[in-house]
Amino acid sequence: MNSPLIKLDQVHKRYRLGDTTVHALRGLSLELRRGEFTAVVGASGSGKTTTLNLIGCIDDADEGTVVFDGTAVTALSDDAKCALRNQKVGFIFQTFNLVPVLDVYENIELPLLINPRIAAADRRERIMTAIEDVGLSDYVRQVPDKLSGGQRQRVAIARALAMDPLLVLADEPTANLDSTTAYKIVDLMLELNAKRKVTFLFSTHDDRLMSRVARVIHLSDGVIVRDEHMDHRAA
Amino acid sequence: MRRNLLWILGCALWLATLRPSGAAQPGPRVAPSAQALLRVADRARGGSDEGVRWTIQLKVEDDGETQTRSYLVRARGTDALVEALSPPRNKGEIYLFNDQNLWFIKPGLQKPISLSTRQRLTGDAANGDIANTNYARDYEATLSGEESVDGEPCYRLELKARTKSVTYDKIRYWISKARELGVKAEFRTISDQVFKVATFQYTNKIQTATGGHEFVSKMEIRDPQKPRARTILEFGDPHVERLADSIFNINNVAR
Amino acid sequence: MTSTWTIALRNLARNRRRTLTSGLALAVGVAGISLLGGYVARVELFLRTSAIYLQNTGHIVVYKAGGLEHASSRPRKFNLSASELAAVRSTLSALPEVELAVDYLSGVGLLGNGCKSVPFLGVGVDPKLHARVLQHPEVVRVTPDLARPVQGKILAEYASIEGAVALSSGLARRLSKSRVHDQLPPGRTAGALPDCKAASADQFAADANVQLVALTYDGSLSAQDGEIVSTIKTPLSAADETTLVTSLSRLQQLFDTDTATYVAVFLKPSANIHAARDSVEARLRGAGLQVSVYAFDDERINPYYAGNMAMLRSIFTFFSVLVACVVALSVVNAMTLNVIERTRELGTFRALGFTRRDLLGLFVRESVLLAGAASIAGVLVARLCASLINGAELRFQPPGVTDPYQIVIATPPALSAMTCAALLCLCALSTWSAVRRSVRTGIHRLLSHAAA
Repeated sequence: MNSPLIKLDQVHKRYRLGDTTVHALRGLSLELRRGEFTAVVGASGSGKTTTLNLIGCIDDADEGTVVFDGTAVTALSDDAKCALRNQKVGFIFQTFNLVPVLDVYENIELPLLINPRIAAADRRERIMTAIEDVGLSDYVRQVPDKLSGGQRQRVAIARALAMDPLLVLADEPTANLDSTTAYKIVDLMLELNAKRKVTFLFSTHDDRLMSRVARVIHLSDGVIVRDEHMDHRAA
Repeated sequence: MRRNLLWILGCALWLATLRPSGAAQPGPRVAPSAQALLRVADRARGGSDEGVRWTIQLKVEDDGETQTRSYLVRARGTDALVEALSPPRNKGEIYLFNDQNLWFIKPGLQKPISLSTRQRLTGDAANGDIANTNYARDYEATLSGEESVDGEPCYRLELKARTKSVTYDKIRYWISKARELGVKAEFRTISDQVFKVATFQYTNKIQTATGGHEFVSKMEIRDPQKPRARTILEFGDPHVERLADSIFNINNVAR
Repeated sequence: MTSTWTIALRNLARNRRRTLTSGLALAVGVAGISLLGGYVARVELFLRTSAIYLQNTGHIVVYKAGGLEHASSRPRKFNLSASELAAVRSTLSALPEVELAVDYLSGVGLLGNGCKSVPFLGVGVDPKLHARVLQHPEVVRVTPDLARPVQGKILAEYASIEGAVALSSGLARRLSKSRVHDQLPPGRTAGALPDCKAASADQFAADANVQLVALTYDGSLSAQDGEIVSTIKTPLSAADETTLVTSLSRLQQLFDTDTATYVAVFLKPSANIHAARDSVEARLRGAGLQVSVYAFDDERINPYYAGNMAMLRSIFTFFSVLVACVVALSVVNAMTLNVIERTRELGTFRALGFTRRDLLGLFVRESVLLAGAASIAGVLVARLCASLINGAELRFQPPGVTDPYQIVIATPPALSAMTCAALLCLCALSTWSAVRRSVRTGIHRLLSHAAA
């Protein structure tokens, strides 16, 4: 059971931008274990988002392998990847990406909608648990427009957790929040990491958040330049 | 065409005057006027100011079958009273031609029926064919040349209808030079299509106040499109008769 | 509990103006097609009833082989003989789909009023059977005006009058016969012969007597008296100045024949006309009869019906295609905008595990909901317009028809249902075509799209 949850091995990714080709990841190798709370840091263009995309099966590597929970994802069909994402990965975005026409409850319900194996009663329980976990019990029927930035991100977190995923990927989750709220969100993610034993991997270029994470992977120009395990965490 | 003819005739005349002396000099022969020709020819076909009476046997031969009808005709000038004699079904039916009108009177009917002389009577005969012929009155004639018909030299005349109510729009009529009788007629549409051809024979003789003359004995009508069909009118027993005005009056006849 | 339908409905409400505009375009399209289709349906019913019952052809018509082309010029050879008629009738009486079979004799002649003769086209038919045809429930429902005589009563009411004829109004007018038998003093004697040169219309109207004259089949002139008992309307104005209807026996007497030109066969309402045509022809030929059988909508039998219906159907098809194009373009336009605005959202859905199919399904549901609502609105608007138009009793006179005709729009449920179904399919297809490319775009590209 000590096998890594995520394993990237010599992964390359290139993008075409007009006439030029950008080499976003250059032979990146990385392992992530269950339960880790890890940040990926680096300047803009260092490959943070690309790394998260490849891990979350949102994009495909040009070279190298990506193994998720023992499954090599490069060989999977689109529908299989969808299933994997739905059941094992939760996403949190910088811009929250909530559906404006759905309320808090319905937004969180979204990933459950396409999973017919989950019974209605179970569905309700999962959603309410997630809502309680993020502290939004008083806002169940509010639409995103009526919520603050921090509240919206909490909804996003609850949505990411609704399917009890193995991994939550957060791409710059605090970039659109003020510092106080940002700290609160990271604290919440820490709390959920401890409580639900779900692995967190988030990208950021905010150094102030580094004090709260257990591991920091530094990226630059598509390669890992430093992989730090932090011994201290904020209380 | 006509001018050429006259020129030729003129030359012929002049040549005739050059004949060696001693021979008898016949009088100059001038072509008669078309209207005059018609008037004479009409007489032999019933068109005369005296009352005339004759019978007609009308036979229609088509596809091997023959049908026969017979009529009694009393005519004077432009009027004619034609009475059907046979077959029995038609006996007593009357066709009254007067004043450019044609009435059909059937015994038992409440009123007479106005018909057109152009309408088909039976076979290829039109209603107008069983009446007396008045081409001189009904048509404008021009002499268009000379031609032989069955070996007989004839004048060829072009006849154009004066009014719409006459039987035919155009007729090309051959009148025998010698006998002054119409021997052949081509009945044409306005656009000069020949739709009927008739030939005439004159073995009858009729005695009139001014002497005797020939009278039509047979008229054979054919449609060029139907070579196996023919309609034959056989005229019999023509003689002059005094005919009262009243017999040509529709009001009297229809009662 | 949410469902994808709820999401679809909420998305429609996102941009109300766009939804309303698209919906309106669809509704107008549906209303237009329903109205035009309803008009064509009603015209078809009218023309059909007129062709079958009032133009004496029945649903199917039996001629002797070659009779349709040649009977008018060579009736002796191409009419149906008395024995053939009996054989036809006996074969038809065994067929369950046949309601009525009627012999008709047609022929031309002259009709005179004592001074003037004009041509007529005569129809000889048994007056009792003719009455049954004119009083058929279809006729009463659809074309009651045309079946009623203008003056007098139907022919069958005058069985005691010898030579009873019904003339079309134009024909009666040509002979100055302005009054019919019932309108004249009874027991009068035949009037004096009119003085044709000085006769006035009143003189001719003093009696209802006319003379019919025609050539019999063997070429002799035949004539009989007629008594005008009614004047009738003819559906087509071309026939208004020449139509004469009398009993079959009377017309047969005029032409000295016992034949008939054709047999008109009237079928029960449920019968399939073309199938019946095939089976009747097969049966009659099987019985040794040399016949040709035609359906009423054959161009050779009812060119006015066939020609008009062909024209109306082309117009309807053209219009439908036009509307379909507009609908498709409207939907493609609206959906394309929707997709562009929601690109990042699409990425989110995909990240959450929605497959491409799921995503397409979301959009298709949106357009189906819109189409559904628009269809209902369109159909209701069409019905409202139809009842307004029908109530206004608008009339117009199409070319070739005797009387002005009221514009009536039918609202057959089948047409509404088909239009709605077609709209739903078209919308779903248009949506699929507008959205599928975006849906195939890589998720990371969708997510990185600038927010609307």
